[in-house]
Amino acid sequence: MSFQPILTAGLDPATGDATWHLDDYVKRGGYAALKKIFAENITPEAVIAEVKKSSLRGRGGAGFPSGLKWSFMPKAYAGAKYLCCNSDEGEPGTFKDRDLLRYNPHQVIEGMAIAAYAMGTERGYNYIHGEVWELYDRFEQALAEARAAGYIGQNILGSNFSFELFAHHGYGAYICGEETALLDSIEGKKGQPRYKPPFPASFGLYGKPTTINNTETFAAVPWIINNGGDKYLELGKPNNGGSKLFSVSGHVVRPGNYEVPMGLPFAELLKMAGGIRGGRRLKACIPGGSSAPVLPAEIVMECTMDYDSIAKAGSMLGSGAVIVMDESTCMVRALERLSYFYFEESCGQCTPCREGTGWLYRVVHRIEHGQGRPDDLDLLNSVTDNIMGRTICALGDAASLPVRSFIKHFAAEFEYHIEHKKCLVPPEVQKEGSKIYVRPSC
Amino acid sequence: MLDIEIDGKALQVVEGSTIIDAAHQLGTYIPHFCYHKKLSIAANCRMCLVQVEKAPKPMPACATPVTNGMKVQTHSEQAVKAQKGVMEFLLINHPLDCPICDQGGECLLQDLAVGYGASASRYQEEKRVVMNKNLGPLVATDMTRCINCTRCVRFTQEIAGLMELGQAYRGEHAEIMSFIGQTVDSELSGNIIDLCPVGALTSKPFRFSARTWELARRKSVSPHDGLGSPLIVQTKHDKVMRVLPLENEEINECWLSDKDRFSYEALNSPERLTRPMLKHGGQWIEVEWQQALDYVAHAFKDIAKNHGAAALGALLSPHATLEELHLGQKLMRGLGSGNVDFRLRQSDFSQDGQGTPWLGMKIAEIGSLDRVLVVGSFLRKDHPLIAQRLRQAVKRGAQVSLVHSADDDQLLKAHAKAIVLPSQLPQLLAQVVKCAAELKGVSVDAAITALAVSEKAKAIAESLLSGTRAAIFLGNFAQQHEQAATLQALAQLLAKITGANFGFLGEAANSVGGYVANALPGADGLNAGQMLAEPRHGYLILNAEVELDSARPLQALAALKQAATVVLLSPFKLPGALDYADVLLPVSPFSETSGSFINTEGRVQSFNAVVRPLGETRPAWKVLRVLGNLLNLPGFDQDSSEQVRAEVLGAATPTPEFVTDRLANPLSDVANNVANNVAIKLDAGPNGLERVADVAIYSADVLVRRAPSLQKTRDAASPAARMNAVTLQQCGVSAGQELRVRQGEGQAQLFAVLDAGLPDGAVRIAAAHPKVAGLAAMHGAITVEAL
Amino acid sequence: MGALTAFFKSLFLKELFQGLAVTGRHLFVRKITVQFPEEKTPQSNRFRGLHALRRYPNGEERCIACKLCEAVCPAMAITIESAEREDATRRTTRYDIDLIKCIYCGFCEEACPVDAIVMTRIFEYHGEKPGDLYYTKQMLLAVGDKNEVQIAKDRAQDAPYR
Repeated sequence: MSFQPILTAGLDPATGDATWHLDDYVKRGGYAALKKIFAENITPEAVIAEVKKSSLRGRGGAGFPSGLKWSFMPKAYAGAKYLCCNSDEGEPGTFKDRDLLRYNPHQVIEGMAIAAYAMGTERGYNYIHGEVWELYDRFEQALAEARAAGYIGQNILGSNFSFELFAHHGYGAYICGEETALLDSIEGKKGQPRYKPPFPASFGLYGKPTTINNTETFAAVPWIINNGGDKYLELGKPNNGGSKLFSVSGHVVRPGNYEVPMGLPFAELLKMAGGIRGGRRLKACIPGGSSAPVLPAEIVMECTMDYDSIAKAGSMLGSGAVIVMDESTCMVRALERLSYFYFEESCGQCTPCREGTGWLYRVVHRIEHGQGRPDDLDLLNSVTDNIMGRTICALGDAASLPVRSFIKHFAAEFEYHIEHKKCLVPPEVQKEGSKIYVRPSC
Repeated sequence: MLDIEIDGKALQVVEGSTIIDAAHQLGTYIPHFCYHKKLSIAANCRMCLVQVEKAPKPMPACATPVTNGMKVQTHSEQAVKAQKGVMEFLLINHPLDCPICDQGGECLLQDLAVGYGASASRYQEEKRVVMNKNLGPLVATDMTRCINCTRCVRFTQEIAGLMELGQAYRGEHAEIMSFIGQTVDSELSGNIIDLCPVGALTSKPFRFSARTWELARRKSVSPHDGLGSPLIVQTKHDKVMRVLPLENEEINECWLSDKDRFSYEALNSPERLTRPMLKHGGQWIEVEWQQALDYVAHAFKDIAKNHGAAALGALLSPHATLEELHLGQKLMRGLGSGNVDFRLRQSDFSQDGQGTPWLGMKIAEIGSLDRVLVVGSFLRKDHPLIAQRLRQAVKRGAQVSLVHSADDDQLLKAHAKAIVLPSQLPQLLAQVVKCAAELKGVSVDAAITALAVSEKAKAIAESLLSGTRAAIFLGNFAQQHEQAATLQALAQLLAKITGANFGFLGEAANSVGGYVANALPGADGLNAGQMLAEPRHGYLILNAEVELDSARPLQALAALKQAATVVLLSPFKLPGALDYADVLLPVSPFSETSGSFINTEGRVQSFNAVVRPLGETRPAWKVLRVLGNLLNLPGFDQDSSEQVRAEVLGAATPTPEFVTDRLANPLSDVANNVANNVAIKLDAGPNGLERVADVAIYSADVLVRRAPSLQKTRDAASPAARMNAVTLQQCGVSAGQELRVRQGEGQAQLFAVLDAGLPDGAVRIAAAHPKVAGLAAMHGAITVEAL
Repeated sequence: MGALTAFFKSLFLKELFQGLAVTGRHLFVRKITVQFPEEKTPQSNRFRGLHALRRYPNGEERCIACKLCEAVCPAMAITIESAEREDATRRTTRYDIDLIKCIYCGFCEEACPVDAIVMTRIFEYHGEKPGDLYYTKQMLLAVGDKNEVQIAKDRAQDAPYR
């Protein structure tokens, strides 16, 4: 069975930037699901049941079953309930939500409207990363179109269901992608994760029950309603329903977003992206965004791209950002760059992360610059031990996992660095690998 | 109730408790920095991580709610490893400057580092340095030491009511700072010093002057506002070095206002009077006690003989102790004069003889009120900690309404506010009474029913009637009001109609004590206002700067200047008194004498001297007692302040904790037609401008005026003529312009300041400041002209 | 029997000769009498003599008024008062050691985090009036200034064992 894209259906990369408007989306079959709900009087419970059946899992990184999350929202709650879309995509290697919002914003709007209907919320926010300002602008325009057409607003499509959706932009802080920090940011506070419990489903935005899902999760919802949850599940593997956008980056010939069914072997995904540049060999791959543990070539080549398989291999599917590194990569330098990111992006609220991320970065930086000490690797492992599981949010873990996995899989390279004060990978090879790559015409 | 097991010990806790609550219940200590019982939970220091059975990772005890059957290990290997890990992180960027840190010896981080820290650091990179911040004259900063627990941030936001501090920047660059260019100006700011678990925030006046282990800790009671906060006074070599709160959940909780905390500086002021002084031929000479006391005795005897005892008067301070007030009035009455009063700022005395004003309830109960009306009070500045209690009550859902003449931000969400000219306050309150009476179906006086009711008055009445536990409080401004009696009667009536508690927010530490000691005139004597309006030949002044502390400073000064003999008992060489007084007797401030204060809820708090009297200073009760002997008066043979106290409060031991049985707010036994008993003057007041006078927080009494650090704060800024835009325009002046302000015979030169919170026609000029001592009275008509 | 032995012992002056033997032996061994003050005994670099307050090479006094020496002093011989200097540093305004109370235990030196209070090799000092042995900050600094070379040398020598 050949795979028909769901999220990117009908989109052509060549003309995509011009076909995001409402008319184009409706032409592609957009808003059919929303119409279907009101036409067939599908109850909110049935919507949630359908999503549960689809085994759609949160596409933001944690992979929590969406239907289950939706069912946590208190049904009989008197007062406001909120729905938030997390488009604060800030993790190195991740760029799928950006393209969804650029080429198909209405799909997200429709998904949110359906979710709002399912959970009985009347107000939603889409929190868009501050560094993609033009997408925030575009989303505002899309909202205006949808509002004018009656897809959001008062009494949607003549029903007695109302849903107001607003766009909200951040200023580029990675931590605002953490759901509770995102809520604080919408509230106008400094974006800092809250301690959980209480979870957003009981105490979220402005202290009201709130559900937060990733952009891609919402974008998958219309298709599920149109075609049924079972069909969605069939696309992928059991417990890993549907399709997924993978943002493939790094040393591949054609970096970009690829929508593939869940469970596709990694090797095929790599082939779709044109394979490794310059005929070099794959060295390692981070399969789920920078916070996921790195997997060396021999392990990752055996994996299929779904939550369970990657987890079994010792990493996380995360947001589906596949960072491909070939043999020209110095793993110490790569880790230094990642550590620097977490050092810069820690919110500074809780001690282990505030103090630990800086420590990690400085030690890795030292090793990279030829000032490593023999016990530095033990120190790094010990520091990550002290960070992991001790912080308010997952950023502490996210900063530690790369360090641990890099050391675990590439210890020899680190030891070489410490001992010889230089890279195992010769500088000229590194230079070759990091050259600006001109994609061969395809 | 939930069952929980901590370290193998089972106990039951109420639902909603956290693990740390349960541990405290059991007496188990869990190390922590950011957790504080009075602040919200931040869970950011991660020091309180404990092992919870079935949890995959250690959980913060401060934030983890107890679930039924939970099993917690606070000292298991996992828990201690987590705690040690966190301690290492806290220490990597913390400077090793304990030897020069004022927190050294009383530092939570230092203490816990002994238990959880390693002996050497594995961190060999560069340490973080954070620039210090200027938080004003009271709080010194060493921000490099900060561990970002955000207790101070949460305090300013939640307790002080205004988020004056915040955590800026991210990650390792995160730092605590005030708004750019701003200082921390809260009247409760000193508490962040206590809250800071490290030496990042320390006391500026105390800076580097002593170490905690050198200081003796002695209990005392604050002599300032009506709350009477219990204090721990720390002394070294008979010098007061620092003041800290003594925790008492029923009075101050664990807080202290800056006034109580930093006024100790005045005790070491160079202005202290250390030897008795006599004015001889216009020159002040230091004399022996015997000589000074003989002089006073002779002078008073002469006046009594030549002009009658009624030519003598005593002006006592409401900040004096119960014992001093008692002996002061006893001395006057022994001499045959009934002219004695301690209510120097009061101007309406028509309620005299009808009660003993007090709060009418326990301070601790304020937090559980759900409807409150505060009439005429600069709440935050006059009663910082009562304001704090009301702020917490509002957060719990209480509605607080304000009736006042100035719309200062009380940092609490007021339900309804009515801001009118002082002369219209009675009318406004009467409107509320009318509204409440109508809603309740009670009939009231025709003078009240005839009034038109404003929306605000209606909102206030509705709010008061909608609750279950309501209270109406009269603040300092209402008590000092020219029609204070009318305001009292109306408030009392309103309380009766709405079923609310009625009470006074006591102005000074012994505002209630003065009544209990009977330091006020009976039917035969003159009150403070009369004593100054009808000048006497001799005055005995205790611990007051009458020209600042009086309702009519100009008149007071004139009366004192003409008097033949003015005897001042004071710890300080008061500059005004050097001019008008004849004898200066150095008496002890609260730190050097034993005594008692009765706070606004009728609580008797006795205290001992914490240091030896400075120089030849003597406790005022001893001085008064010896004066009594020299004047051959009976009943002056007490050997201790306890005996004096027993005279006032009865000899029962222990001394009763409360004297509420002796307290009754005025008119409490008058029936429903109370309004008929009081002439309700509902006239609109003088045409033109009216003065609104507040007693600024740091000029309220003799002590705070001499506390240098407090005098550097924003709250101590010199008085200005504040008006709203309409009034400014009406006067033809603009903000920033220098004005001549005339009131009665007097005048003052002040700058005009725009204050949008004032009603039209009001000119707000703070009282009790030398700069405005030339103005006639705290109330009434005033004129303004550009210079 | 015992009485008989005692008789012979005293008859032949055995004990006397034993004692003389000691005297005789010492007539020939090396003499250890030191002709003080012309001669002096060797001193350890840890000698605990008169106290001194040291300065940094740039002339700044070392003492930061942490008062640990005052706290640790078992004889309560040290009195310190501190205040903020104009440059916002923590300094002593008074640093007195009552040498009459001092028991020369050296705890003050042990406690000092900045090596400010040290004990020198000086032991030949005296006072003629009671107050003479009450050393103030200026006197202690003067001792330090005068003997800094020796003090620094002694500390450097002892450093490996600290």
